[in-house]
Amino acid sequence: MSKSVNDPDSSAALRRALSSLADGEGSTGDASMVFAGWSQDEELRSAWHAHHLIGDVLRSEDLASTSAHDEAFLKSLRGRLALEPIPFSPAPLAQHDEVTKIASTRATPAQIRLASGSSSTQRPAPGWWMASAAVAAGFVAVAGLLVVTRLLSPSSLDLPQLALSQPAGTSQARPSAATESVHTVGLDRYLEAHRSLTHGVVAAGGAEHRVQIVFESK
Amino acid sequence: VSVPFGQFRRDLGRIGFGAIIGLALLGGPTGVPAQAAGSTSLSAAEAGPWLARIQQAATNSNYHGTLMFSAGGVMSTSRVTHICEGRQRYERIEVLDGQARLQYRHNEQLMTLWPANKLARIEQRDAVAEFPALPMSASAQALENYDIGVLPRERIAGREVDVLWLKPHDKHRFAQRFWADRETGLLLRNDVIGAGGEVLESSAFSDIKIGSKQSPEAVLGPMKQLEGYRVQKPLAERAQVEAEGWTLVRQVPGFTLVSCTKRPLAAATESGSPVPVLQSVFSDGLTHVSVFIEPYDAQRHKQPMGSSLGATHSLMNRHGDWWFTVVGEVPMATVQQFEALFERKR
Repeated sequence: MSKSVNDPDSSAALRRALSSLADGEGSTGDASMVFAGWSQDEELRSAWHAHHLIGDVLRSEDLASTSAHDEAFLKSLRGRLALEPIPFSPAPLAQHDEVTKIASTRATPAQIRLASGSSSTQRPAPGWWMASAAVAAGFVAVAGLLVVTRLLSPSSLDLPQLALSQPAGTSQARPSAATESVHTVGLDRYLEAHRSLTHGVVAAGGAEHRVQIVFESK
Repeated sequence: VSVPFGQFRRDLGRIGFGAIIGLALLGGPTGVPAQAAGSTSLSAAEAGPWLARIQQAATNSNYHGTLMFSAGGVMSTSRVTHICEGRQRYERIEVLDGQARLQYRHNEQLMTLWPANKLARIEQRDAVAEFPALPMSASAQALENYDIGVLPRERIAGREVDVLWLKPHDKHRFAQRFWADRETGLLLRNDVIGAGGEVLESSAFSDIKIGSKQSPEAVLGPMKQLEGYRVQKPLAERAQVEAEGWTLVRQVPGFTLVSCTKRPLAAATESGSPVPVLQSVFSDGLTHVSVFIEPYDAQRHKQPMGSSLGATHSLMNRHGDWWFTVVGEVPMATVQQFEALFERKR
């Protein structure tokens, strides 16, 4: 592909194809040629933009704008898209130093997803998992089933203090799901002790209880 | 503590609904901006009796019914019987979902039974601050931290109820809504409401009978019949933050330390000897936060973590040789403030 883009003949063919496409006359072959080409050809992209700008101005002078304007718009659109919360398949908060960095800038879930995803190529993404805590029979006897739902909640990520208070050198990959669910089981007795004192057994009832993990570090 | 309640109750006869209706008439242009359609703000002097009445009803009335609790999309149901005879209080709570579990309470003595495991746990618990009761300090302290208002009447579990909203003065706590039985004052429903107006958790009677008294034997009988049961008696001792080597270096606005105990904390059927945990409970008059402190144990204590279940937010974190667990029906930011409250002095 890169060869054909650099080839003057093929470049001219691309321009023609682009021109036909912009006029709404291009064939499927033209379209696929252009689509394949502009992912690598800067010139082709600006030509495509120029064609559209010309079309816009022909329709109305109000639509005339510098290409920087469009680029700014696209950038801001991409930025906004990245900020959209993504309710499914969150990646783990990978390492505590990342959490520190991200949390201190009040990142959004999407940013964290990107940040942790980019640095965690070694680990398989656990995706959206729910670990049953049934492994701990003793705990089940007390307060029913505690299920861990991994959910990154933006409201609770302002935790620079927590992450920073970690001793240096503890950075390591997040433990596996199983370890984490057992760990979370440890919370149950505290919940029970707290709520039996203040809100009765109602809260610690036998139903399945879910705890949303809103942040983790280490 | 009981003196003001008695006083409030006497006051109630004089102020009571007259004041509320009077205030409702005065509302509108001169009143505090309404929080919801048809709501009326109450002054501290007017709101106090409402809370006191709820408190009185929870302690001094006889009732039995089905209590539903829902938080974070999970619901559990219990059958509750409360018996009041003179100064004696008896209570039986049967958890209806999941693993069978029964609680019998006679004043401060609390017995929990797990019939399937043939396990019984006997504890001394003093605070009676659970739904439908309010914390003992509710009236005075809550009024410093919440604005209280009255909403139009509703109907809950077949009974007419007065509806109160409690709006926090700051972001350290959640708003709440109370549905109190008009006839007796008993709390029939309590919602905890998030900053966005969403219901975080709700406790409510789906059916209730108030006034019909059962025999205390219904509670005392089973408390004596423990044949075949393995009985645990975890020893809880009153403790003091300072005496345990800790200092409260700052304050979380509106919250005061209401109790401090040291006791082993373990899942009932867990083997091994549990380590004593220091539990300090803070209250703002309506809601509670518990701070648990114990020696750090690399085996049991893994990574720091924050979590939420309905209105309950919690975090676990390591501070040097110590492991902190903070649990409370408050926003996560408040939970974090409690974590930073304690400093080791020796």
